[in-house]
Amino acid sequence: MTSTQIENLLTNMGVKWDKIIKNMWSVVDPEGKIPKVIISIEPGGRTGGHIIKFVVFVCDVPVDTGIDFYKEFLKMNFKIEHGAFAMETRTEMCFIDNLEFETTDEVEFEASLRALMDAPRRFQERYDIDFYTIGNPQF
Amino acid sequence: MPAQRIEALLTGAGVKFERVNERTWELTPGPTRSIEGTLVWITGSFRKTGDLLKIHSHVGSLPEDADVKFFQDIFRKNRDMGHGGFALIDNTACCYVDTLELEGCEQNDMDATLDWLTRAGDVFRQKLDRAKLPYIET
Repeated sequence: MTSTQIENLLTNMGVKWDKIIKNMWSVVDPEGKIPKVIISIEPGGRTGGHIIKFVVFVCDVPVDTGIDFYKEFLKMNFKIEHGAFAMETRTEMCFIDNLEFETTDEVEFEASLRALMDAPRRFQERYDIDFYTIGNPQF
Repeated sequence: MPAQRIEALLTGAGVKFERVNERTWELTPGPTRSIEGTLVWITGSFRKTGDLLKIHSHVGSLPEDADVKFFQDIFRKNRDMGHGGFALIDNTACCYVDTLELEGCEQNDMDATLDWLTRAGDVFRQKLDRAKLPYIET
């Protein structure tokens, strides 16, 4: 997988994407029906290489929320089968998933991206998680 | 057989293990790796692309006075991890958890997951180090 391949893949998938900086892209639905996904290439691969990191914003952290809000997401991290809930800032909860940059093929990349785009519906169906009841979703 | 393959991966990673039921293995310190954890073989995965190996290890208990900033720090650590992340098993027991896809899982994948498991324990213990509160950036 290369950066050029990622850009070609995004184009071929028919999604609207923008290059933010080198090795970082955003995928945005113009109609706002799917969440924004940030894709980046970062260090941290299993074998000392790089990873492709997918980050989808889940919800804003409610103002003055207590620790139960965070505990609920940490418990979900144990239940879910792929990825993890995380925070990039202290005000936004996101969901992340990583792929090995060197060994990921196009099929895996597209599957991961589509899975994250579809994450809210999947969480609702499989884990009975409704983001609208635990925070203010961005989508 | 998937079970034999799982055990071959664990042996190759240098951990001892005991199969406690059809789909669960308990990991204990072995000749080259001093870790403790649990491996669960999951079929019928979220992505429906094949079986999964879910590995988790207890890293510590939440401090009784853990505040919002403590949790935010833990979630920010999850953002920086190459694989897996911190999770809660119950209200107080914190663990590191990572998932591998059995199909295509090679020895270096298993080794690296167990490496991250070790690192996660260190990160969590450092986070609990009162001398280094409130923020630990490792």
